[in-house]
Amino acid sequence: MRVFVPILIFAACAWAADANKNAVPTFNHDVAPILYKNCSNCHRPGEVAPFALLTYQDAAKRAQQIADITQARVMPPWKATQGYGDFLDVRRLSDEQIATIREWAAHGAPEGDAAEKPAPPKFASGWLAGQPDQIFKMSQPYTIPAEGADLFRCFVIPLNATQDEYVKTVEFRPGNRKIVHHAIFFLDTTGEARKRETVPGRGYSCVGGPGLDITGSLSGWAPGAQPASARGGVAHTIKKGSDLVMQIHYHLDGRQEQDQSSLGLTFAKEPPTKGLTLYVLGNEHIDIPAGDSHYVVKASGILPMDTQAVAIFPHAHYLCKDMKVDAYLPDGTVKPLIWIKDWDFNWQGAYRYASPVPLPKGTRVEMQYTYDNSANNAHNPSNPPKEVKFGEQTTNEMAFAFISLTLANPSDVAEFRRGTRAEFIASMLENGVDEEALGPQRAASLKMLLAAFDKNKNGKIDPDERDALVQFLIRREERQDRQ
Amino acid sequence: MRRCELGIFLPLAMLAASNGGPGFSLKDATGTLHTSAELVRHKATVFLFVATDCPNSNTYAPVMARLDREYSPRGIAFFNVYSDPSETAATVRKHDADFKTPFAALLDPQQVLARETGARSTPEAVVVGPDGKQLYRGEVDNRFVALGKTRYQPTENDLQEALDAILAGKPVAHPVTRVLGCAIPGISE
Repeated sequence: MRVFVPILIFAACAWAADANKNAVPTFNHDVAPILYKNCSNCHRPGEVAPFALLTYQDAAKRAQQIADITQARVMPPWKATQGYGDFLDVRRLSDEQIATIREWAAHGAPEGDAAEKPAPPKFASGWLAGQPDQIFKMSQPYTIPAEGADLFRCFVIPLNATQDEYVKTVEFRPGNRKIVHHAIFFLDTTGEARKRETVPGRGYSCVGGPGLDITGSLSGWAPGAQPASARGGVAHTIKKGSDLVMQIHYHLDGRQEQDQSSLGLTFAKEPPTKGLTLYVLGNEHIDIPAGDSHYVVKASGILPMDTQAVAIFPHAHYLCKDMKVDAYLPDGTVKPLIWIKDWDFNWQGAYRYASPVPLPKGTRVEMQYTYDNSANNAHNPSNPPKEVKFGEQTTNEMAFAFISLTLANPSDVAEFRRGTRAEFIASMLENGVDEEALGPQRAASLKMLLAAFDKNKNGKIDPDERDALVQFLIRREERQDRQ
Repeated sequence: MRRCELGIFLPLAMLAASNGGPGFSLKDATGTLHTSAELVRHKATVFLFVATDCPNSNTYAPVMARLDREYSPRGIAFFNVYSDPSETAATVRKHDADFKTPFAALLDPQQVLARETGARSTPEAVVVGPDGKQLYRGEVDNRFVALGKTRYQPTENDLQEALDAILAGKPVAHPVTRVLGCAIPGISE
């Protein structure tokens, strides 16, 4: 009997395999279409991914690895949790697709019928959106070392705009696709970025961000991204005299490399009919004790006019593990804007909504980010862990959600900014003045405000005192804007 | 089962040291033949299993160059081993030149060395003594934590610690560690 049992099992397996012959996935019939649509755009020669996934041989020798990494949803890289925000360019496999790959690998990665083999995808070269009106290129190649932590570098490129210009299409071309992991494009009207770039063309280190008061952006790029064209009536505005600050994340690959990337801009002939602004929700009061594995940072803000969210870019550093942003509309509905459950600093990026999310006046936007400053967090830059405060360095933390909002009219942008600044100050006063977070000067002026508007003298601004304060602040901002 | 397969490589196995160390006779990427007879000339020999298209092994190029600089004067020999049959001498030469690898690259298309040492993925490091005895097999350091998750910086330099122990005449504290990387095609099950 002992002999028979394995034979019977074997026979049963053989029968089952035969009966389901058509169900065993093959490369040509089942797996190639999944890989070509979701992987090959980066996994092809000359791109950032370390190996190609174009031929049967490419995939077959890594069948188990592909099965494991898709099962774990590490690849394709897409951090936004399904059901929390409906986004464009989603890089996410369905459960069925993952199961297909797993089955294929488990059955020895069969190639299948040659007649069913799909044509490998064709990838356009050159400018995907056509020749741009103007190309802004890093003035010199930048050398990236073989080894070390990933680099975040900001390159300052003058845009030489003699009047305000409106951008229709932004297309980034990495100079060296093997190492350019992602890029974000900021606009600087203050000249501050130029000062930071002490040697022109060499850029400056900018792990946390460009280190500027961010007033404008031209969105960002990640491998596989299609050129971002503005949607109806919307355009990024380049203020006269702005500099482009191109923040590039370089992923070191074990050998010395060089990069000289460019940004191509196509301009809109007509000025935009809608306003576009960057709403910054954040909290700079971060002080995470060493070893704390669950430190929560919250922030909220109230939108001072009707808006539509077109994109969101959550940002924190290495310790953050979970980030959630929700909008509480005045009618009581809750709209989730994004939820990332396994934040990875190296996979940050902008998420564009599939269709604009209406957020009417009075909407409260709330963020809740969670941080792990324990030794169990492999991303922790400090070993053993150290106390971590807000800041731009690798060993500091941040908590921001940059939300691109459209407004009914371009002229609404100034009023929206005044309103959000006023709301920001009012929300700080609701909880009393935090001297440590603000510094002595800002704290002193806020204390004066608090004293003036705290009618019941309870040391904070109550909801009924808040409206009067916000109106006062908006009027003050208007006066300042006119001067 | 492994022993059965070794029968095919009987002439190679005969070169192995008497206590069952790795028997090999492999050409490097420049055509020079290396055999297990070389082991006796060094205090220990490091074989790092790599692949030209494995990002995990590529990231160690500068680390291995530094270890070579530091440890080869102290009697440790270093080899990269390419056990993927699809790697050619020309691609390996170009790759190791690009990554400035200072030591020889063995081509192991029959996967003799991979099977004999038990290496299953890249970058797996195997250290053997002059008598062919395996002293360490595992990761270079612990930077890779899980699929797609990399430590900000390694906290355990396992290969270097093994070499220090060997040179000090002490047993290696963790003689086998797990490796996270790319499967060697046809080896891993």
